[in-house]
Amino acid sequence: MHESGPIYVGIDLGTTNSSAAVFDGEQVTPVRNATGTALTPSLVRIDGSGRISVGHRARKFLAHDPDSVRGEFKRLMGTRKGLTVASNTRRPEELAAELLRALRRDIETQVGVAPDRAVITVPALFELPQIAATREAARLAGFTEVEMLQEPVASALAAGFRADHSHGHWLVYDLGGGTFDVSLLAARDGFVDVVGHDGDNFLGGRDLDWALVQWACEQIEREHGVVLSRANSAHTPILGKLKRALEDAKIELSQVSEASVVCPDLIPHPDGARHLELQITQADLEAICEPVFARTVDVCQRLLAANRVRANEVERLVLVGGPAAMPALKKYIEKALGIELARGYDPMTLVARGAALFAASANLDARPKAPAPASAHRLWLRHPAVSADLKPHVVGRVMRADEQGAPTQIKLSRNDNNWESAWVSLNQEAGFIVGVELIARRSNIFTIAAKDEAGNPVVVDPPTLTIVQGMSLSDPPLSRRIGIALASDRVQVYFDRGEPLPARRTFRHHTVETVARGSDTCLLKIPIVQGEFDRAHLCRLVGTLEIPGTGLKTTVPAGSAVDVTLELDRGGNLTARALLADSDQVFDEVAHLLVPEASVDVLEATYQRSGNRLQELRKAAFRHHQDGDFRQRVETVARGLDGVGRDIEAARGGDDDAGLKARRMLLELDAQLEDLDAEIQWPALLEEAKWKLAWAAHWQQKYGSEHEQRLFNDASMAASKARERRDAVELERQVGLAYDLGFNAFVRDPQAWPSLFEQAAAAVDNARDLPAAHALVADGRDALAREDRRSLERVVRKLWNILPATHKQRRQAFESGLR
Amino acid sequence: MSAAGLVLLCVLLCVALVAAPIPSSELGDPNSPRARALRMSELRLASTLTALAVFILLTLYVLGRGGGLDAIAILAGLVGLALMVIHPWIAVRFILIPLGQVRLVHTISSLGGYPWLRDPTGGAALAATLALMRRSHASELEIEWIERQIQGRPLRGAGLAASGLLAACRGDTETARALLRSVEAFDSERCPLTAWRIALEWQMADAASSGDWQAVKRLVQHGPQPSRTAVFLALVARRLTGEWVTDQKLVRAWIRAPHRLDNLRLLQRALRNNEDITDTPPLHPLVDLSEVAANGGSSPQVAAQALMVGFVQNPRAGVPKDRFFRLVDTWEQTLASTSLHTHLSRRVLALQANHSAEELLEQLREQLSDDLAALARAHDLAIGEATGSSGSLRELCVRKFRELLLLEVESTATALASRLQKLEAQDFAHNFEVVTHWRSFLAAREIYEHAAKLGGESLRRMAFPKLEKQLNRLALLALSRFDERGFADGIFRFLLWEAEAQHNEVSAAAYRHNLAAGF
Amino acid sequence: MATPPPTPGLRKLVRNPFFILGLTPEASRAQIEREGQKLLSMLQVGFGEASHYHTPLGPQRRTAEMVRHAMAELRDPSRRLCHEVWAAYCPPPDDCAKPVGSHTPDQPDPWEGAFASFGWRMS
Repeated sequence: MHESGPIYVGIDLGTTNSSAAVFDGEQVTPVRNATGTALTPSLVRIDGSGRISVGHRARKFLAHDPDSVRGEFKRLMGTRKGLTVASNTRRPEELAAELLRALRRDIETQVGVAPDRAVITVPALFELPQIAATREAARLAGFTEVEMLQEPVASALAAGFRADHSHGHWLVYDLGGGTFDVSLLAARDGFVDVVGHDGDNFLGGRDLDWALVQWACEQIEREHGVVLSRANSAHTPILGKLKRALEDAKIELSQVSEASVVCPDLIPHPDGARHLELQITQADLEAICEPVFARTVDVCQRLLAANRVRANEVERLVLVGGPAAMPALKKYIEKALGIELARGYDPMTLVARGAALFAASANLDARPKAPAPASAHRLWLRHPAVSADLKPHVVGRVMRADEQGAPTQIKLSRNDNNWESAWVSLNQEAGFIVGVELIARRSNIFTIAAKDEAGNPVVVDPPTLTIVQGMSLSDPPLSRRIGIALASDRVQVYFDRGEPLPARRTFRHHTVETVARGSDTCLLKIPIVQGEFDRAHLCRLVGTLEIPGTGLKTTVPAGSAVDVTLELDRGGNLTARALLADSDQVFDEVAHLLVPEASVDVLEATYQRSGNRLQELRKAAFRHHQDGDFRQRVETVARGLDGVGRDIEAARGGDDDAGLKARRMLLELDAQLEDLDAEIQWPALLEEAKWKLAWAAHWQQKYGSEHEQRLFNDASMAASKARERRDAVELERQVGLAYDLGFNAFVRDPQAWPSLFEQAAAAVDNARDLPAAHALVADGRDALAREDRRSLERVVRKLWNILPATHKQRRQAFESGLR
Repeated sequence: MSAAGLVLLCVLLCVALVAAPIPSSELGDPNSPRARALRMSELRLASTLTALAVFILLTLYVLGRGGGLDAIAILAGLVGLALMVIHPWIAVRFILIPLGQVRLVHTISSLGGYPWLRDPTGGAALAATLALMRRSHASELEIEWIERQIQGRPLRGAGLAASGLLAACRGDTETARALLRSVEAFDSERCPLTAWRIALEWQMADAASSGDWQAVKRLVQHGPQPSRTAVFLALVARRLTGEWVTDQKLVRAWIRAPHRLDNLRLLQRALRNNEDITDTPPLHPLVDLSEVAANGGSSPQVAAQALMVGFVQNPRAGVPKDRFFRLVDTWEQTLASTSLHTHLSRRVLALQANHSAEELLEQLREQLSDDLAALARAHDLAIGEATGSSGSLRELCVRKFRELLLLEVESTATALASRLQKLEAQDFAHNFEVVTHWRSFLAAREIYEHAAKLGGESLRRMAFPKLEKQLNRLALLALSRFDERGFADGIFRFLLWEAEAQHNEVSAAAYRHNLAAGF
Repeated sequence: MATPPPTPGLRKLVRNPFFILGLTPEASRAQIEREGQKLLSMLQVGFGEASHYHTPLGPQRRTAEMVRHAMAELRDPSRRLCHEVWAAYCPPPDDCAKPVGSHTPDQPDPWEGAFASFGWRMS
């Protein structure tokens, strides 16, 4: 029971398991559930009569009543998806709320206080709608104030807290159920910073499980001739049972060298269901898991290289997450990276511990506030609850300072009696600033003494304050970049990844189209996007600020200034406002979007499209004799697409999580394909530029005026400079200019108009007004026969007016109205 | 009786005039508003002549019968009334508009006649707007009512002027300015002279109310025959901007112009302003570069930053472009200086940064070129045609500056294209918000012209095709689907002007063709 | 109320983390953390003296978000070095110019009755 000190609560809301920890200023303690373990399975059961059970109790029903139990709902947070459990439909956040409620009860049992405030961890890849859904789940569970923290940051904080060395690097390797994150910590001048972070959003313990399932299916096919597939929804329960059996075997293999997988009546067969009995050895497990382990090592090496840190400069490697308990993984990672593993960290509860420590940094004391004595003078105090600095400041203000007997001087004394401040007089604003000294890696309690004008002691509230010395992270960092999509498909970044929250920033933009006052067809859209890409259409749209013509006081012409302010609170709640500088009108209605659901058909189509692009790239790579690095990158995308194919198959079999994963993965692969495309297009662009310039030069030489020739030379020169810089956009612009000049000269040739007429006549079927176009072609033929060039020219011009423009429409980024 | 015979002949002539058909070559479509307006004006002319002839005939008759002046006065009154019915503008202009009778003005003006022959619908709306502007307060209901009268009709000069004035009534001065400025884009066949004059007068009043007397002078020079008030304001503008205008001339113009009482204070102000105007000295002294450099001491970046601060605090001093390039070159020297390199190398070691001094300098160069280009853009410096040695900060900065300008035009063109796409997908029955689209065209044109001014000839040539395609598409759509000849011609005329300025004969010929032969 | 955005191209000068924290480029990491934390506390408690900071382009409004961002920027050595270059020139507060934008253009000579000259009661 904690009766005096503060209590800080951290919760790791995991995909497979969840845990909680409490920090009392000195110790971080994992919270035990009713079964005495620190891990609660992220499972919720709802029976026919609506009764709810959570965790281990729900797990018991998984084998014989799987329809009443639901897990892995975390990844579906923020979607519109309703999950059916038995005959009940619940939103993912409602199921998460049940889990959080159970954890809250466990905390109450352990510390005697039902916490109102806590820190909950979320995966680094979570976007704003998912974070909002997690917050909603916490609210439903009875928490009044929660803050969100990314899982890798939490594990880094837990690993780095009270690091007993002043210099060096640590690597925190976090292989979760669905994601992999790795953080690089550096200790400098007594401060520990997260200096780098990398990860793979599509790699996790689930991949290990499915690799095992795949292996088992192959064994079943070989022995029984039965093909089990994730795409077949009838096989879903069978594969679920198989997966659970293999998970148990995997855990068993941590202790022994060989394990058995036994499932009665599992395999469907025309002669009746058959039993499954498989033997799996440590060596089998290592071979099955090796590709996944190797991918994590690649990511670690990439992170170290990006931060220019050699493996031998890393002092410790901390493993986090369920799969990290596997001896095979430990052995592989230690050997591949050549870094010693740090002992003494529980990989399963490290994230929750980090969250509890962060709750202290954020001053989220879970205890209900005690009433102050009536005679005490209220002080408004501000100081870090956790400080890495040994000499932080305490800033305060006396409330109702004009009252009789109010304090005029303040003094702080550390409770070990080895330090006290001088008497500090209040300033004109009734405030004071006192620099205090802390004992390293301790919870430092200070007593506040006060005197009134006459020098009499005054009772103040609060009478004491506590500052914990250790690694601190006072502000939660932003997990993904947030910005505004511009009409040019670029992104104006407002907040970068790692930006401390809360944050607010304003940038001035300009409108690209006129929005007429009162017009219901005109709308200025300001799309807010989240993601690490420079091209807006590859990022995720997380909200749109819309300025309708009907809400305007005056017409907003194209080019008008708009000051857009984005604001994120500590929990990642986004607000936006646009100020129209000329009319002084403010708009702040943001349409918040949900995580788009991944319809299998749409995924399939996108997958096919990406596959086709990949084939084109492969052919182009062969044609243009691209180097090995390029081909390797193409093959990496190909491997990624294979994974997407499997996920789409699983999504077809009813696995919504796999569908979401496929959607994200396709987006990232699309970005990689675009990069490769741009690279491969460069030689083709050069070739096109070459012939266009040569064609234009020929006609310019023949018919161009002196002025035109000068312009043509300027454009050719600018094009060659653009070629040197590999600036594709500028090259296209200059070549276009030179080509137009060439065309101007070309039409002076006697044969030009007849040839242009033939070209236009060939495209006549695309005309907007077909009868008119055919009539014009007939007129043209007449003119051609009469050799009447002027009439022919007139006919061609008329035809051009009704033929569709060949101009390729540039893709607009979420129809953004700003530049 | 010879006089009576002459008068009779007049009457017969009038009847013949009315009966004679109008040549079809003048009309094109006999049911068009233009044809109707022409027929109406012919009828009016005949009626006027008939009324006058009848008046003379009756006067002679009365005098022959020994009638007195009373009878002739009654006759004159009756004829005057008839003339007012035939030419409603007289009553509208001098009675109804000053009284602020919006709907009555509109109803009577809709009858047509002078001065709205070339845009009867828009003219009636403009007259109604003028009446509205005589009131001390315009209700939104009435503004909307007038707007409805011109909606769905092809846009012409008077309608555009009315839309501009209505925007002004709403307080949307920017829109009013843009629309009224663009009235001159309509050719005289589609823009009544009075509408053009009213648009100019509003612009003059707007310029005068903000103290831009140079603009007042400029406006009166390029407009049609100015009104008496416009003449007075122009003289005041000349006087206030330092030109020599005699007091007598000023007073005479004041006497001739209406609203003398309202203008008295302005006259007094102008009369007081009889001192020679000299060039005003710059508000702030130029930044002493040598002093700044001296302050910089051993740290080159201090000198560069001090120059930057000096530039921002006083952007109009000296020759801004030269000062800007001085700033860029100072930064170039700073980035190349050994002292900065040494300083950075030392700090990289001290802070254990994972970038080398060279990498940081490269990063700084990149950031600086972005910042300097943005600074030049924010201060509207025309540096687009400046050149610098390959790879220099100056070259980088100018390139990024041009990139900013091109992006502005390209983004506008993209937005226009997207709007056109939606418009093309709509069914034919859908209303074409002609004033909104005209405003879009004006804004796009302004962005393009501004970019061309700052970016120079080569940028102008590069930016034009981006916008040209979309504007041409808009004009063709407006013409073919919505019969907006005036709207389309305004755009074609701009495109023709640009194509000719850029010696683009192929495009110029196409626009000439579109303007002359029609689609 | 949001602080108006600085003139394009001047963000690095006007929003320089060293200026926001009121520190010189030589400040140690501990000083940055201490000063940042102190300013955050002062802003929360509402001390007037913390509400503005000095830049070569005049005083600017300081917000808690700016302080947090400044601290984060200076924690990264490479980013800090770039800011150090921009913080090299900072005249003492008294010499600081008026904020950008306070420059008054030529005084115009407006005629309020211009619209009435044409008989219009409304502009």
